[in-house]
Amino acid sequence: MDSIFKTGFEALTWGNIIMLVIGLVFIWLAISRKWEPYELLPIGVGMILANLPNTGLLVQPQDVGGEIGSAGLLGTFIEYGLLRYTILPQLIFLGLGAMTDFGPLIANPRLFLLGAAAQIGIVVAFLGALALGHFGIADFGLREAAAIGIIGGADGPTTIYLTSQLAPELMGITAVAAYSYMAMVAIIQPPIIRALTTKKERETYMEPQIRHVSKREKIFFPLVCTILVILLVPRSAPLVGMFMFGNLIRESGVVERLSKSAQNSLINIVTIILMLSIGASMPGDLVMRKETLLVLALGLIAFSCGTAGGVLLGKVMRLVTKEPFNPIIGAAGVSAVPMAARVAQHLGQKENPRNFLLMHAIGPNVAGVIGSAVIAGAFLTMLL
Amino acid sequence: MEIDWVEAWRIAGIGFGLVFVILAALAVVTWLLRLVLNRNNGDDEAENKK
Repeated sequence: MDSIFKTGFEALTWGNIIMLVIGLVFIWLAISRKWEPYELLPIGVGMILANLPNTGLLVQPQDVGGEIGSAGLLGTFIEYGLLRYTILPQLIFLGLGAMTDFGPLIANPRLFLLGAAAQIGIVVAFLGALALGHFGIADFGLREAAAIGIIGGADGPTTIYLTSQLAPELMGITAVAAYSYMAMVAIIQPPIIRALTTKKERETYMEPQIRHVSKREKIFFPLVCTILVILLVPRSAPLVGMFMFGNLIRESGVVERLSKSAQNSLINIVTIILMLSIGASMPGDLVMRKETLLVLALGLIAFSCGTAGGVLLGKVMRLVTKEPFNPIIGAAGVSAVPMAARVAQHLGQKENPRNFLLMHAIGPNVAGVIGSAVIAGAFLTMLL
Repeated sequence: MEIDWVEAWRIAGIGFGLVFVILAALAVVTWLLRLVLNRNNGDDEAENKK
């Protein structure tokens, strides 16, 4: 007999149940372990809401022909914020720009190269995903491989931006992988750094003081970056343009209200919407697919190779620079701002209590953000 | 799935190469910026002292 009232129980699948558990684990990690709580908490809630059946929350406006009142809240966020206009990652970049101090990078521009070297993880995972496609293990083509590779940039908004355009069906899992690995940077990076460096290298003392960077330099930097990078890779404009605009409103010193809004209210609101949407992009059947596990594995490989790339170039720079150079800071080139820089600081201080590497590590850290946005723009140019 | 490996390596090479070239160019431009702006700063300071 058909009932006029339906609970969610009858439509609940095993996939939904597993995703509910994963959502609860994310919330536990955020609250109890304080692992990236600003990301993992709303992602966990998004997963739970999306996997409770018959809610209508995920109905997108296009599914109901734009009929008023028929679309669900999360479906509307996903369609307008991520899939159709990709507004949310761009706004996050604006906020991040307003929160970023390029001073350490401007003070020592050589550190740009470490940010570039750490992008090697993206290339390794890109080719790795294609190899899986080649051998028939997974159904990954060029676009999917690029979306998976970008996880190695360790930059959530860039991953979301690229994936939503190249392989929207992978958006949920690539974003969750990127944020999860960013949260686990303190676990993933130290063994790789230790394996690739000697104790003597890790103990290297670097003067904590960086040179004073003038206000003029800080104002000119985002303008020069915007023009140069976007001229060379026009498709990076949505990310690089917003990042540098955010930074300019911070450094200009004349629009303090805008700067404060971008650093606080704007990024907080957008983070809530973006992370809920990402969590909601993880339907129950996702965990049942082998591609999900392969994406997670490739993301970890990408992240690890990126760390290795930065550290290895750090070792080369140690050989060619006159001043003492600690290769640990190369690991911060994978973005994951500021967690990767904190890992370098923590590890460096553990090896040599006199060390204070944070300011040095912030340089490659923010260079990595620019680097991953550039490679995302390059992928979009070549694959769209 | 049929993969065009020539195309794949071309995309990977261009992507990674571009990142290196652009970030190296930014490093040079940042260094030049410092030279130009600090020279101007020096002029300003000298003028202020007068």
